[in-house]
Amino acid sequence: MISKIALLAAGDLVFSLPVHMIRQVLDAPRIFPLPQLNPCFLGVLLYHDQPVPVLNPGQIWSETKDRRGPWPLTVLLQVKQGDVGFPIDRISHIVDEDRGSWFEPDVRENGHGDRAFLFEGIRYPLLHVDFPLQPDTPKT
Amino acid sequence: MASTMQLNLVFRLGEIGFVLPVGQLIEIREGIQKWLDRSKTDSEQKVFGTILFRGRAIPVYDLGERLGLSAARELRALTILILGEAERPWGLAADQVDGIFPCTDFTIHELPLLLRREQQVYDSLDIWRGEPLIHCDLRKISAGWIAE
Repeated sequence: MISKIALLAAGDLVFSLPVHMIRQVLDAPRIFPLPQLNPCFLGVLLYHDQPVPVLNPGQIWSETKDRRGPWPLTVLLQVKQGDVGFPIDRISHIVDEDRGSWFEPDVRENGHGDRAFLFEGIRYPLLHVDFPLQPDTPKT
Repeated sequence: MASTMQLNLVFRLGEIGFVLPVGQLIEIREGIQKWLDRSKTDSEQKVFGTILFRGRAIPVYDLGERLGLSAARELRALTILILGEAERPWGLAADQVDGIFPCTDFTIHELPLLLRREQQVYDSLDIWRGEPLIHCDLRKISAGWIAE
């Protein structure tokens, strides 16, 4: 089966995300701020009465301003550590993976880079949500 | 008749709500300007001021300062919650008290693992009327303020 890729936008930025990671797209859920959080998180949303961490897009891309909202949509992602919300402005496309191609950065040249999905001449960096998803100091 | 151990107080600091079991509450005093003596403010001890309670001055602390909310919020504290033990009470400034509600109205959840941090003064949330509220752990909140 061909995988599908969601092409999303937050502010002026676009990015890609495999659809299988998306649990649901929520229409402007209320995001509740909480104190003493890692700046990578805006707060929590309630999903079926369960608190779900919401990532702060402004902290994930240094290019974006630290925007608290309002966000028209929030993508609920399934990651290893559970569900997390990621606020966005819109979903541009959902496409079959074979309609585009993957740009693989040459790690020998710069040591790092963003993997990106190329679709109709536009590069959509793959959203990396892993780096903020380690608890600062997990409590037992 | 419900005992006080089965009731929760809901109060707010800015846009953040808190839940406190009523059994930990000694008294609520509204009208902070009337009761609070700011001349005894001690920023090092985080004392927001003092109030007279049963004939003696007791310290009042600002939870917002403890939580790092002070910079973002205008200090509107209108109510003082008197907490602790009867022999050693202390006060906590709150912006607003929503009321006292049965515990059955609340569903407690652990703070999601990803949100936990060292030095955090809370580790659980109460869901109440579609809103997550911080479940107050007075032992953690008062650490550093009140000697064990």
